[in-house]
Amino acid sequence: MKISFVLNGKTTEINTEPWTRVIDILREQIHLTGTKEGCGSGDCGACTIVVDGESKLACLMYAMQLEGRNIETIEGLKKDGVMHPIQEAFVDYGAVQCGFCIPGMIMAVYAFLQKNHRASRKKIKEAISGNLCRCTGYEKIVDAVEAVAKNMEKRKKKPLSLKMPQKHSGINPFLPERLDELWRLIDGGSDISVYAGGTDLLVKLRENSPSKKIKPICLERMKELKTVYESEEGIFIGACSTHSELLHNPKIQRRFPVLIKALKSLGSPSIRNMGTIGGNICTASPAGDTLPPLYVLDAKVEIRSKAHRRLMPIREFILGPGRTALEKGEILYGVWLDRDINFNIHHFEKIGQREALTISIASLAALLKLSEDGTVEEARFAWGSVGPTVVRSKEVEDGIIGRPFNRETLRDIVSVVHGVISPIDDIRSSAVYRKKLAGNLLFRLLK
Amino acid sequence: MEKKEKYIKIGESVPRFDAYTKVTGEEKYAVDLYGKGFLWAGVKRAGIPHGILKEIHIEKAVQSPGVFTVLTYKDIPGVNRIGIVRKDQPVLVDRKICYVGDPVALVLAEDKDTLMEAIKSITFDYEPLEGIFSIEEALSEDAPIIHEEFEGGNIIKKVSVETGSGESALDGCDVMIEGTFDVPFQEHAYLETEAGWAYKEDDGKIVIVATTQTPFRDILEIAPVLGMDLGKIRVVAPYLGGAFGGKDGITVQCLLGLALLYSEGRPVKMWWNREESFTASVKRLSAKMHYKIGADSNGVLKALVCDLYYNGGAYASLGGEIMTLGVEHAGSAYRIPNVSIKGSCIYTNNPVGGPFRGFGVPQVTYAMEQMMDMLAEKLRMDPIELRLKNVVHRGDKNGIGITLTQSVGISECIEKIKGHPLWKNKDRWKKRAGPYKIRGVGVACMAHAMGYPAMVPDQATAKIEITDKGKIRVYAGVVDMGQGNISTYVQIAAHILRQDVSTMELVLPDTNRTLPCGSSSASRTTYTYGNALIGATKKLKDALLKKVSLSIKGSTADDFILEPQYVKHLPSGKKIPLYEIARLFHHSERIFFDYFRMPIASCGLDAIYMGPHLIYSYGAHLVYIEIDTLTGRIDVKRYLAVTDAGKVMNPQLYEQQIHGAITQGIGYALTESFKVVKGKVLTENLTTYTIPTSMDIPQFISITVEKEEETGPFGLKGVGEIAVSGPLPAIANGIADACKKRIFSAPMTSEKLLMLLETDKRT
Repeated sequence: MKISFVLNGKTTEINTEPWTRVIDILREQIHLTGTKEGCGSGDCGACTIVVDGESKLACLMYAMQLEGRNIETIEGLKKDGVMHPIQEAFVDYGAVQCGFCIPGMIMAVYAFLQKNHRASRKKIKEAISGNLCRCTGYEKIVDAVEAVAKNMEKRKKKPLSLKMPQKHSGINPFLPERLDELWRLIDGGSDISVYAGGTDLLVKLRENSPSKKIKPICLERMKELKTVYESEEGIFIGACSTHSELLHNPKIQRRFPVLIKALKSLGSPSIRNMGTIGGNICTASPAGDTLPPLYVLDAKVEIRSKAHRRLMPIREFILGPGRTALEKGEILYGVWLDRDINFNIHHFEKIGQREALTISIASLAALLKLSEDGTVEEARFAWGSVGPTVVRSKEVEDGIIGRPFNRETLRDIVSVVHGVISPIDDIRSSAVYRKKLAGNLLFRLLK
Repeated sequence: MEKKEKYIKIGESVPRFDAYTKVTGEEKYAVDLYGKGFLWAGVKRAGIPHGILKEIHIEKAVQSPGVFTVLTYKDIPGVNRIGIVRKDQPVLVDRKICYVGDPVALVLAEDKDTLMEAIKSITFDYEPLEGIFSIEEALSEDAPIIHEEFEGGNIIKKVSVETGSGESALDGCDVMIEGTFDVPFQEHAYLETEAGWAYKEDDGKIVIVATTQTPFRDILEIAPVLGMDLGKIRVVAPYLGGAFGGKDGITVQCLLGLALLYSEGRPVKMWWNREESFTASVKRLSAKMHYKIGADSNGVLKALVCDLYYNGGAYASLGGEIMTLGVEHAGSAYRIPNVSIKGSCIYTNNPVGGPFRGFGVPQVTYAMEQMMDMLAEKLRMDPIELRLKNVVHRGDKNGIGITLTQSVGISECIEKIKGHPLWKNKDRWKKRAGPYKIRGVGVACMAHAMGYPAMVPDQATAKIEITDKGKIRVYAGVVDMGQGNISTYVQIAAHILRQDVSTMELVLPDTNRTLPCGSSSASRTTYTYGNALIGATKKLKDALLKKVSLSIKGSTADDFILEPQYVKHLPSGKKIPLYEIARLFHHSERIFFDYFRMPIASCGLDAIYMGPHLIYSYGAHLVYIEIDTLTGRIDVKRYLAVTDAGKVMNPQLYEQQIHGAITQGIGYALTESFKVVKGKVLTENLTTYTIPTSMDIPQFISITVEKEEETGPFGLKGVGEIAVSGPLPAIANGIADACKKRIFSAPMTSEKLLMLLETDKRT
């Protein structure tokens, strides 16, 4: 299949199988070996490239997703023999040791600095939190980025003007843009699978034998599935909205801080640029970071097929680890949230093995409405990673209503919590620790 | 353009020469080589921890379209055993499978998908054997012996050192402290996994470009396997994408060489994926350590008695030597007149233990430095004062009775900690912990020997050339795995010749072009090669000045001075470009060499297996930690490292080493545990094996104690490893300070901490 895109400012056309990984296209077909592969599973950031101004991971993207995009790799930063200021700073500040993580690191920084001119050290650290470096301890990298950021404030930015390639009409059937196109595709095959961001599915597919490789349809261009709007029914979030889009959406920021807090803790900046809320829901992992907030927000999911549309509470939609109520021919269309959420405390905390790019050992989302004298009027709690699905309990929530919100009350409900969760031992944690966390995390609300 | 001429100087923060091509993506690592008509090579690995291999079924793979060939042990023309000290490891299993990563068959295919498919289609019959995984299992009387062909059963190596009155000295001590400590396997997790590119040269020579720290030693391993002369094999080492010891020795090299014998002249590429790298590469050895120390009532150390068990995994690698360095450092940086230190390295059916920055020392430092704090607690002494009282000074005997005749700066390191605001203000900081937080401050000292043990000559031959274009070409014989040693070589030569970067050229390690200089390891790379290079560069300088003096009537070499790109005739002010002088050299007189061997102790050479070390670097670390009492989460808030690694040649590169080592140490302390259960790797990728991200690392303060080491190049000692030993004990001591309770096993995870805190509640 022919795929056209702009690569480092030049229109490029390649001929490839649509499900070839972008990292392989870049390295093996276009011979740009600056983009490195360190893990193949989105855990290291060495393959970070910039797609339409956003950092993404080339190991979790298929070639067809390049169509019509503006792609920048490390090779495009040096212009007319002159290094980009970020590259210069990395040299000058001693940010480079073995250098293997550096192209990806620089691309992550490049994307970050285009949108963030006044960057604090903390923000810089967050921006590179998906890019592992085993040599430097990051400090000199942060020094370098800080220095560039300061200089960038002074510089005026030229707007990018790019000539986008002519779109190949209809030659990319696996990248539908409209629902009718999608239904045609889904009708056509018996065992069709779809993906949006690819951050879960492409990792899972690594284990498959190449001959058994499924050929999923990518939903990233489905405009309808990327909208967020308000209607009588509530706030609608399209299933293919990326985590980054939601994080920056003023509606979501204003109304659902609990979701924003969870999104901030999800993966890394690049993962958030790729992964979607629908993907997070359909993966149906008990550790899915958006799920506890969606549970406490009483989210409803909208399911669509060619013939019908149905709504169902998220707790009914997710059946178990990796299992949902989606039936053949159906997709998750979006999520509905109540417009009048009225709680004065929105809380989310996730415990992982480290501070960033981490899978939750346990998490807690909580919404509380306290009266002026500190009595609990309404409470919703949801725990992640302490059962086969996210746990919400009427017993716990009812048990706290009308009581003063203090240590004693919380102590009393901890035993109830322990009764409703069913954590397991796994590589990240013991069940015992998860159980303790599920109770202990409540006390943070007192802070 | 009148620009002040500036040459590169020793002691200045010169940006690394390799950084320019690394930040642009132009640098070609071993993984970046592709070429016309090449084949992909890949390995079928055993997947079982212990068993006798019977039939291998490769038929299906062989018949698959796109598969070029499938090789098994039967196709190995030479000796099917490798190993640096002990030849116990097969290139492809011929009889016995000893761990899950053992290679059973080698596949060559046209593309990656076909390769993967073919590997998956290979099966084999085997007779399972009971696996042994823990030290206890390996040492039990009825344990199956993993390598029957060697003496000593499952013990790879046993070492003991006794000084003074040994164990009996404990009896006369006023106080005695005892403790048992555990540390896990640690994975290097370099971003660049193992890879190589092999091709044949026209004369039939085999060229292997590989991720290796040891190109010269590799030839000695590859040649017998292929049944070829040493001279028929060439190993090239580009810049490595991290190694830290994990690429010290054979990974892809023999397999690539073998593949090339059957590739019908086509180049072969091999690149392990992350899971394969984690399974088949060496690990920092896990260890169990039992310690007793005795002191008088004033806190003066009198005796150390310890038993150290290192879990060496399936093959010897350098496990015995790693354990031995642990024995040598068991007493950390202290003067202890009576010691009895016993160490064993044990075979198990786990992934192979091998070199990793620190080489056996971080393990014992974790134990000994906690012991010191426990002693301080018992004596109600300040931990800093207790250490100051006991650390070695120049002229003292170290823990294994070797007189330290070279520079020793540990007391200065501790003094710097003692005088630092972070130490002085620690109590105030601790009191300011927020809700559900407790704070602690920990310190630790460390020592790290430089170079090989005395019986293994630690030597290098430097080579430098004035090219016909007047450039200075440094032939770097020691691999740069990211530490920047090669950049420092350029700096050394440029400094002596008063040149800037535009004059300098570089040849990376290549057994055809550079000279044997030993491995990139043991904190030796700049010390040993740097010393040799100083000699060679001085010879080149003398020759340049003499040559030019011959061309100007009545002048002597003293009339000239080198400047960037020129030689200046001082009496006339005339500048003669280097390219003109270069023409005066015949090609046979362009190259200059020099040799260096690291000094060794003048007596006590039999103190320990392979002989003792003489030169040590030292460090003292201080850490601020905050513990969340709801979750047990440990947050490293501040980190101060004081280092004595002699004089500093390039502050920027020096700090890079300190920062990187601390970060790996923090990972080792808090989150990194390479988990293997019944021989099966559970943490098989970077999802489950969690190394620190930018968000897990505090701001560092690195202070140097620039004590000159007289034998070092420009007064330097090795700085590559010293700091990695600090975080584990410093954080452990910080935890004990915060919780008044101690953790004895690493990593000290949130989970362990919360359990510790919760038991606290009950008592």
